[in-house]
Amino acid sequence: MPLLVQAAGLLVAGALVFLMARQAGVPTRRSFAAVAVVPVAVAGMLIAPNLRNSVDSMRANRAAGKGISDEKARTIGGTAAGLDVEFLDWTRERMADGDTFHVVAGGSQDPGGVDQWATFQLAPNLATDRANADWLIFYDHAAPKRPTGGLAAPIVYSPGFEIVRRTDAG
Amino acid sequence: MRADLAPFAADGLLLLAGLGGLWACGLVPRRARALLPALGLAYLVGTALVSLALIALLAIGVPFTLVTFALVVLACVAVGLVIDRRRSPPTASPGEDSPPRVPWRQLRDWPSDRWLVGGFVVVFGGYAIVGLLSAVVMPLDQWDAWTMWARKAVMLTQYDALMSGFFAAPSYEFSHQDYPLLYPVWQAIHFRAAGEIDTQAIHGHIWLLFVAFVWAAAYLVREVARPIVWAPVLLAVAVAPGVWTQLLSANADIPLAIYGALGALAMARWLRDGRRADLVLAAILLAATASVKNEGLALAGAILAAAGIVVVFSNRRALGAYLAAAVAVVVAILPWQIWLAAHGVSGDMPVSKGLQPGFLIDRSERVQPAVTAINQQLADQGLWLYMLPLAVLAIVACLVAGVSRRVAVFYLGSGLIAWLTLVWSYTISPLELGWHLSTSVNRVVSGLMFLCIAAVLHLTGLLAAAGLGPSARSRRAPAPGTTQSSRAGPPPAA
Repeated sequence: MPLLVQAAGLLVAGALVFLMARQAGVPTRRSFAAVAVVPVAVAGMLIAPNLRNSVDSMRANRAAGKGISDEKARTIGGTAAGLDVEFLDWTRERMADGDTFHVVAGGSQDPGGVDQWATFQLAPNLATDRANADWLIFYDHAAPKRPTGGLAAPIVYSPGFEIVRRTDAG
Repeated sequence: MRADLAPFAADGLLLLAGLGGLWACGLVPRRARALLPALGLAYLVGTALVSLALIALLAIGVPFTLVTFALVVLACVAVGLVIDRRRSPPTASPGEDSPPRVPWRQLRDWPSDRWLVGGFVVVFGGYAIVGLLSAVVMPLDQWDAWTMWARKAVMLTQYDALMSGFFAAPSYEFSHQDYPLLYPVWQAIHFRAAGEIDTQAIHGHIWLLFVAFVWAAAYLVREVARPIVWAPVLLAVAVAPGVWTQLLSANADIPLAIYGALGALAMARWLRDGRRADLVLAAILLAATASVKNEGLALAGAILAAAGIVVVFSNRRALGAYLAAAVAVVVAILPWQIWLAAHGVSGDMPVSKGLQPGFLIDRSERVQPAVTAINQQLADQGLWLYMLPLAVLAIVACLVAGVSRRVAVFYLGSGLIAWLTLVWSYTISPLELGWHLSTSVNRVVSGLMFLCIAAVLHLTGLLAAAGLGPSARSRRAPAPGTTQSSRAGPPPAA
């Protein structure tokens, strides 16, 4: 409905411009051309306030962005999602190039969200299914306490944040 | 130093490749004076051509490296030069051979249009610099921006091939593996040039895409619209919060919209003037639109469908040229689609089911909420500064006044079909509707909104020209490539 009202309003404005031009004795074709004044005028009126607001916002964004370190910028997506990005950095230090991993997430975080961010932060190491991963990453989820089924003992970052290497991994 | 400057050098190479493309089309003559106004369009055409070529090469297994990138750029420039040289020898424009004049005398002789362009360059140039300084420190914190786009760019930077362990692996299904690769490939070019992955600095190059859009749009409408028409509209677009805030979120929606709008503009120029060069340009830009995101595929389809309807009903002699362009667009997107099919990757949208009446009827309760949400976004004039209602006014005025009706019908048809495809996609989507709308509708209307921007610019210019006379440029001389032999479309509309 608002869209219809807005379009109707501008059509009425165009019609008024046309009628005023006709009343002033302008030929019909040129009077239609006068309707072009409406978009130009509307755009012209909107430039100044929006230019000021946009420039102010951009300057504020720059001030905020300049304060972000390279390190923080690298992980800001995960931080914004409330994830433990330090744990993932710690994990990455323990993985070799080419090692694959699988994330097992629990707790209050959306497991899909944890998986998405973890796979982004740990790139270029690739995620794969649990049975084939070189590493299992337990994110807010208890790992098996003892070595079982081809898995080594967990390496603990903090309770619930642990990684386990497959013993038969290359 | 390399990390800061090399990505801009890559932009320069993309620009060169685009100039090659424009020379090949015959859109820009090889003269210094003619090049400057065309640089924005050249950058976007270069990005389109090089990225499309790299995607095709990746799909057949050619490694994606900086050397491959440089070779593709070289090929574009060489092809452009060869075709342009065969077409006609370079000629100096009037006045180019004459001795340079004293600058202040030139200023005194400037017509009002040139002063307006000068004022626009100063204001927009200042704004562009402020935007660039802000963009280069923006953090990559938008979910889709990192999970869909930057993720693929990072992989294309770390690996030089389409690794099936990522692009076709079940573990990465969430990243919309079926989405086309133009935007990640373009980002990866910059990461590779920098020698590192700087997710803040990439925003600066995304900002350049928008600066190039404004530049290119002014270039494409300059023959019909005087600066008094296009300068205020483009400045309003530049400062519209819906445009620049979304652009700097690093999502793909505004890049998609940029290509779609310019593709529509080029197509509309062909429908009106019948120059083959415009049709070739439209095909390149629409192929790029369809290669940014699946929504771009729908937008390019909408623009092609509307153009097809206009051609069928107004000049069937142009059907052959139109079909050739449509086929070229399809061929350009095929390599990626073939790679996807070969690796068993499919999207989550049930497109074939979505064409079955029974399926659509079963999901008809999703239509009304989708229509309401889409229209609410389109009516948010705090974001879009009345571009859609202004487009409606321009279309109605042209139709009633009999000014370029063919072009007006084309924009109307493109907009309506694009709107319908948005409603249709929300109707058939397997995702929970409320969540899907809340996380995407503010972004996906960008393509439609940029179509409106193209319509406002083009039709307002045509309307004003009908009564007040065309721009000085179009009065002075026909546009490059406007020879009888290069015409391949409908004659000028009534």
